[in-house]
Amino acid sequence: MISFSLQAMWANKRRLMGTFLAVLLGVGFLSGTLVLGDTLRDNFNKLFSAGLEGTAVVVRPIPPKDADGEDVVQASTTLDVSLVDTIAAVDGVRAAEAEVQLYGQLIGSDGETIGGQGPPTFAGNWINDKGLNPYHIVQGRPPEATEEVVIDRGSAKNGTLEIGDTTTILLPEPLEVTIVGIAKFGDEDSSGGVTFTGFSDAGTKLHLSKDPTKANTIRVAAEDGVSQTVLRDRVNPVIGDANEALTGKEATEQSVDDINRAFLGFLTNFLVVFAAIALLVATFSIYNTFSIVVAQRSRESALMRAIGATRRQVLTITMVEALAIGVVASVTGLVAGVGIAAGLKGVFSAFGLGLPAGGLTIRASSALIGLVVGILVTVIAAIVPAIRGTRVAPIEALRASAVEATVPSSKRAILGGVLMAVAVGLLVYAVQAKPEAELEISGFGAFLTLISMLVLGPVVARPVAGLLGAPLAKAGGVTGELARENAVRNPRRTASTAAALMVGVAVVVLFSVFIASTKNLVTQAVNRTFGGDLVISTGGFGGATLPIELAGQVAEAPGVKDAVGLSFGPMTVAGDFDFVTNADVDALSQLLDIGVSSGAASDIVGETIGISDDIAKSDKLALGDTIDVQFPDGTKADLEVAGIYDNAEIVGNYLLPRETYAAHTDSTADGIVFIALEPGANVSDVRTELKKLTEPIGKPKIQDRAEYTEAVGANLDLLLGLITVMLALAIIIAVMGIANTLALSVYERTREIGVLRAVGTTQRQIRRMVRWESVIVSTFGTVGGLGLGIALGWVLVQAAFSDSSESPFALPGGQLITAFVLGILVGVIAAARPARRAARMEVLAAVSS
Amino acid sequence: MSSPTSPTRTAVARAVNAVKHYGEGDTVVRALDGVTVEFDEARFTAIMGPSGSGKSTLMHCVAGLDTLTSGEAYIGDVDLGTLSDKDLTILRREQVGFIFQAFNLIPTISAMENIVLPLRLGGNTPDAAWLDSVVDTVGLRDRLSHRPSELSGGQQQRVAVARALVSRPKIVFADEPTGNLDSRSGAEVLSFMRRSVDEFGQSIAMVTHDPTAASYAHRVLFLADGKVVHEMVEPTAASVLDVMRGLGD
Repeated sequence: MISFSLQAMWANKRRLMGTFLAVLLGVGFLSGTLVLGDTLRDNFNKLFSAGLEGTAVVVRPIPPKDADGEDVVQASTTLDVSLVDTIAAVDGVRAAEAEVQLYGQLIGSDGETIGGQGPPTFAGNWINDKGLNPYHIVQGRPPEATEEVVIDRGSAKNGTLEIGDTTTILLPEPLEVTIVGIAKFGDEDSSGGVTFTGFSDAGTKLHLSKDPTKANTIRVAAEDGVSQTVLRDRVNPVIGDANEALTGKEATEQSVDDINRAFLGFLTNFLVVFAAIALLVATFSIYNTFSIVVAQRSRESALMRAIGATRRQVLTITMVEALAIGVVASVTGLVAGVGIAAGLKGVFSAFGLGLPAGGLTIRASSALIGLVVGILVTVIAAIVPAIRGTRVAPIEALRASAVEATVPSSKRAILGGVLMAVAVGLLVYAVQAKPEAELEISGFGAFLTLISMLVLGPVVARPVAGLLGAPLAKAGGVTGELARENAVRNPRRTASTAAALMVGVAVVVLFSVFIASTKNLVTQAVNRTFGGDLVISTGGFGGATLPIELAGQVAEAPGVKDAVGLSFGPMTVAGDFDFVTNADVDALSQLLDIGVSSGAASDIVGETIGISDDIAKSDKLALGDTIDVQFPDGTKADLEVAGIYDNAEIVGNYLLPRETYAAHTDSTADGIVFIALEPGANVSDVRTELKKLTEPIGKPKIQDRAEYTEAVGANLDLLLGLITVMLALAIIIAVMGIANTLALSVYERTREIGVLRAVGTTQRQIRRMVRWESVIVSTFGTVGGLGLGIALGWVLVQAAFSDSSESPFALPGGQLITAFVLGILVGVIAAARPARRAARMEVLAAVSS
Repeated sequence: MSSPTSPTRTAVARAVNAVKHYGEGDTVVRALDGVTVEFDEARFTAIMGPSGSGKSTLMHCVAGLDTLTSGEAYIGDVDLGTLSDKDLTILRREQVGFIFQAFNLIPTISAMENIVLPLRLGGNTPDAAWLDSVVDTVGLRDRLSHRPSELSGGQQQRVAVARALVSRPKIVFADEPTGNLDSRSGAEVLSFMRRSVDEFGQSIAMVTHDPTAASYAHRVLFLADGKVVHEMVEPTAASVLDVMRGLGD
């Protein structure tokens, strides 16, 4: 029976090609994603191991825990430097050195900042002990004077800096430094894109540390023959309760875990979602192919049944075929996945996400997941059509085979209608009533909506395709009519072909709508709250890196009425780790209408905090209540709520007085400076003035309100671009699905096409007929996807921005039109090959087959 | 069953020294081995012969569905060998009608739409009076809005005949048009074909196996081994059967 299956498969190889490719691409993307995850984890592991090469033990302050009991990742210099001597005295310690690591961004010879697009930019002390320092000088010498530095070779190359050059480092206050040495990180030019500037001990104390008696960590080297664990256990008792000693290996693992939590985990999950979408789309394609293959083979199956095959045997033939395709395509997909992983790395680099270099890591577990998922998807997608195939009565073998035509049952219409009603009910309930589990309920509602659309597809396929085909029939005469009739001939097939495209388009549209609405939200917020004229921001991934003095300097500039800086920094508020805004609240409220509804902006000083109206409501807080916080240096405090404000879009849910935050952190910097001009001041003159002012600090962006909102939008567009690239795969699979279904339908209608040709249909008319049928199907899918995407986008926007006073829901018209046009084009592209084949059919062979 | 008695007849389609080979070398099959025939205007010609005699090949080549290895095939004065696929298609659409053994109709459109399909493919509107008389002759006025699957086999073939007639082609080629029908339905279709010749002056060439079917024709050509071996005018079922026996079918 198995060899019979394989023979059947071989005979059908052309027809099964589409299925093969769909599985291959889906599995390729999934395993590519997993391989990428493995690879990045591995690369980071290597990177961190290299960073701690020669370091047996790391001593650090015990990090605070968040509400989930996870370590909060935040660099802080709170370790007593005097511990170095204590540790050095421990038996088995060869050397111990303090390590200070803070923010510091170099400016290259062209005046632009170096790095900062992903990997961090560090300034720290140059560790003298060669065994403990992960960097080693390849050119020049270690720093001695307080303004001498060693930089990593990667930064030197990117910024075209050489020994003897003088440049600026932003700490974030600009500091003139002279490069005396260039260092490599192990064998690499840099530590995975991290930029590093090393100061002498004296320079570190003078320019970097706020408190020269503190450091981030202490690195400890062991004497020969002393193991890491032994040394850790000897060091631990002497460093006090607030600190902990980790072996180099433990510290590496911790760092890998940290980056996994902060970034890699998110990235992998993000990619797996897209792999899942691709596989879902592939499922439709597989289902379709098997439905058609089984239908075309119904005479053969009937013959098998007539000569004594059991239903089970007929089922086995199809399922063995599915299994074989699943296995072969999954294995091939796995191989393709390795290539896709490499390609994805390239895509992320192209989108500005620096990732460490290194070969690909292929873990057995990832390979296994790819294989199992691929095979399961194929087998599950094939099982329904296969079972349907077994229902053929033996007598069918004796009848002339008719092209399968189905009429959707009323049961289907009722079921679909009920599902749709329940789904819409859930969504409306979630959006209107805003229950506790709003996101969960809307998520389930969205899922039900999709299911109901899939169930209803065949029911609406006929009227909708008829409607879409009407203009074609009008314009194209009988060819258009034939195309339309072909499209509605088998509504189930049309619907499931279109469904694949629908899912892909819906997801693209959902993201487009969400991102357009987010942009709209930002514009609304800026328009509502910011009455000033200009802003200075570092933009991109830079974070808060403007010197704190900048706002004061800007305020003094001619034509400027007022300038206020706003900063944000990591801390734990009410048990949750977050980036919290801090500013001179009173001054800020002059420029930014945060809408204080109770208390006063001027009261938010000292040991107090301002909170948004939403937090006040959800956490049931009122003026005078206290919130527990933990600062980056580990200090805990209870802050009194001194103001509640409505407009949280720019400042976020918490607002701290600047001096309160600054007292507990090493580096203070502004993320953005808001500027109001004197009435009548010439904007371009002021800009020129500000440009001069910001020239030495890495040319941060000076933007007016429109430019500012646009820049925020540009970042979101980048994200949308990335998402669209990821979704292109799903769309490709959908196109292949349409092409495949069409090719099978053309094959099925060989005789019909022969008759059409015989009675005088030209090749061109045949091509047009197939193409138009394809366009009707693809437009059906696209329109469904647009509808579904817009509806779910609306729900998502309502759920995500429920705290916004006016709904930011926005439709990205241009993108939606593009999606629609592309959807039609997809039909044309998918039809290319089947249409050609249909037109080239030999008339005689077709009519006499 | 009287026939028009015009003394000189013009040929609407003909084959001259038609040769058709399939395959190459040792395995070559000579389906047509130098056939010269004429199909006259307003005449019903039947082509008969045993399986493999080349009768279907002859029809396919003269109808422009297949090409000759050598020799010429004409519709009117047009040498089919000189036409591109597109011109050939248009010629078929405008000057040739077809009736196949089965699966003549497009299942997705109604009987009426099937009838006017060749006209509409060429972007022409049917002549209403002519369409009316064709439809009346077929006698399916009440079934015209039905899809082919809702018609009986005989009704489907009658629709196919109407489709072949509606564009007033020079000649209609029929390939075993009654092969799938019971004798009563077959007789209906055949007498309808004969009527179209007698009343409308249509020319028809029909390939058939069935002596009874051939007896509806004015003239019967007998083929064997790719050659015309016999010709008979005003045939009867019995006389045709006699000749066929002689040919060993």
